[in-house]
Amino acid sequence: MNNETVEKKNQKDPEIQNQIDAKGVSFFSGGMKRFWVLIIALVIFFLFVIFIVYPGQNGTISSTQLAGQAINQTNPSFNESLPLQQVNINNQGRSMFIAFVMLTHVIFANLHLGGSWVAVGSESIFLFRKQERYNRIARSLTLFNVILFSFGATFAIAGVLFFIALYPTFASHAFHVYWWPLFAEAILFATEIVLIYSYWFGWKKLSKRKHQMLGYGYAVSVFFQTLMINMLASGMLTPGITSISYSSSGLLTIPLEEAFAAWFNPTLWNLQWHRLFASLAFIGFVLAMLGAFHYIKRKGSEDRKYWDWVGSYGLSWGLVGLIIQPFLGLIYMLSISNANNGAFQMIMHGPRAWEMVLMIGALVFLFLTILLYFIERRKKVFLDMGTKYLYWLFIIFFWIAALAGFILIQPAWLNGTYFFSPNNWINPLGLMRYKYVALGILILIGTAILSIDMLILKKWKEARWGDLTFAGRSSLILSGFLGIFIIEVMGFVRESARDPWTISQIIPVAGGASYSTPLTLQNIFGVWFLSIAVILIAFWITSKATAHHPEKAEEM
Amino acid sequence: MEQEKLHFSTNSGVVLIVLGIVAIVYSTIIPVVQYPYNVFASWFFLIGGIIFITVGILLIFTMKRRYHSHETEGGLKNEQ
Repeated sequence: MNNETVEKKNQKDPEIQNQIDAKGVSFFSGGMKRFWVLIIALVIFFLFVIFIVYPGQNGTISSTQLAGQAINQTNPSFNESLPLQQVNINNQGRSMFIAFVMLTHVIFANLHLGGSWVAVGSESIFLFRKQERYNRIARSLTLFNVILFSFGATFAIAGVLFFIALYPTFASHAFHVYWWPLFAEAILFATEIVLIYSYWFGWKKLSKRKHQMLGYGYAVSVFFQTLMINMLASGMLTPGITSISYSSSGLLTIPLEEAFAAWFNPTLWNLQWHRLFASLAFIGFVLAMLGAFHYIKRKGSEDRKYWDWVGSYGLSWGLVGLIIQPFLGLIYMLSISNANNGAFQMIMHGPRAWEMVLMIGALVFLFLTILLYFIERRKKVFLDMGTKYLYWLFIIFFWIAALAGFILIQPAWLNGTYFFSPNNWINPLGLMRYKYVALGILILIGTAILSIDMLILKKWKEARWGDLTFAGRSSLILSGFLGIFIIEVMGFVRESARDPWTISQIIPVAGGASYSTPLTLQNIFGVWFLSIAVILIAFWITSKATAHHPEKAEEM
Repeated sequence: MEQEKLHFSTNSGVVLIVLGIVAIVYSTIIPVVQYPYNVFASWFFLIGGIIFITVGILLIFTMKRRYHSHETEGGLKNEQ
């Protein structure tokens, strides 16, 4: 059945439709109840991590304390020679400054890494399917990125300033060893600026082919720019070299072999792909959240239809990224285990494992939120189709996913610093052999929901845009929040894994044994709160200016 | 209406095949990354994936055959 037929069917007999809707409301009730259960479960999960897992796995013990004498035995040339500029906030001010600017910057950088592909991909779909809404979202997203480009770059520059001022020895060595990748990054950065502006200002002025080339050029330049900066980011965790031995002044200050080993270190490509798909998922969830905000704000039916569709479209991108992410995440963890087993043990079997529990918990709640959205959003579509089976199937998926999630958030042990410490309490449900099955089930459920939505509900759902329930909107907003939060947690996990080193096992964090790292739970939660608040405000204000509403297109 | 059923079944078959492929890929990742090696999870997803693909293919072909083979015998196609 095509869209028109479904629409006609609905328009033909509004009385019958009202009866169906009324019947649907009574039959498919409980959406908000499920949403509030999810929120309560999320709050309980946070309390569980904060009050049970964090102290139970001795997360309070700093990595500096655990590293002991190893920090003092490093090459003296890597110790700070200048007096340290301190920032007196909760004893970890310097780290909090860096965490705030870099985590916030990563979110804005992800707008380009993932957003560029979504924007130009949407334009390609528009050219292929001739549906204006794809062009509209591509334009809105591109303008969103154009405006927020400088805001994100400001955080990057602030990060560089903080590195130089607060960690001068690290900054000096990092800029020396990674000179060529960072130089290439600067060129790619300039290329990206030229391409994104040309792409935006060339809309409707250039031929479709040239415009698409600019768009894909923009996406590719962001990809390689990220690759260049990832050489440093991944090299800090898995340096690929055991020490930095300078040769002499010249085009290369370290031997070529060592430079290549550092630049193309063992986790470079794994981090690159992991980040790419994380940012694709992230941009999807951001679109979904902003779509829900606009849906609430706009009252016109055409606007509401469009923003309802944007929410669904964004969530589909998010789900695609989320299905692929665990595969890439597992392979990335394997490469960390092979290249820097100490860091791997710290985040999987040590006092930083609470961060992984928090991260996987955010992933689980994200899956459940998406499932709740699809149950809520499609329930009237099931009624139009005259089937209850798919609705029940989605409900069953939700509860199976909740069960799988319950396994995934289990801490592997409590009452000890390490998993292998004597006298620990080993949690029988927290073993990886169960978690692999649970994770696989989540992936399969995500795939099933997405493919059912794209294949079976494809035509039917078209007639129902503009009819988003309160629970549906709430789910979209929650998915956006969790999508941002999970990126912030993942960033922190990777950084804290290498503490108390800035370049693992080579350059210690400035301050040495007297400065404890990583950030305590209170401090990192403070940073996350502030960072997410800034991001949400920036996103909403910008999206108000960039949103292309169908009913007031001339305001664009 | 019957053609809708055919589409529904065909699409369901495709969904099952996609699920089967994802399950098999996941089953091949587990032995690579798992420490210690987890035989159960790998076999669970491998066998599950094969079953999904088989059922998906059977669903598509059974429905298509049912639809086309009754063209002249008052079958699904003629019922429209």
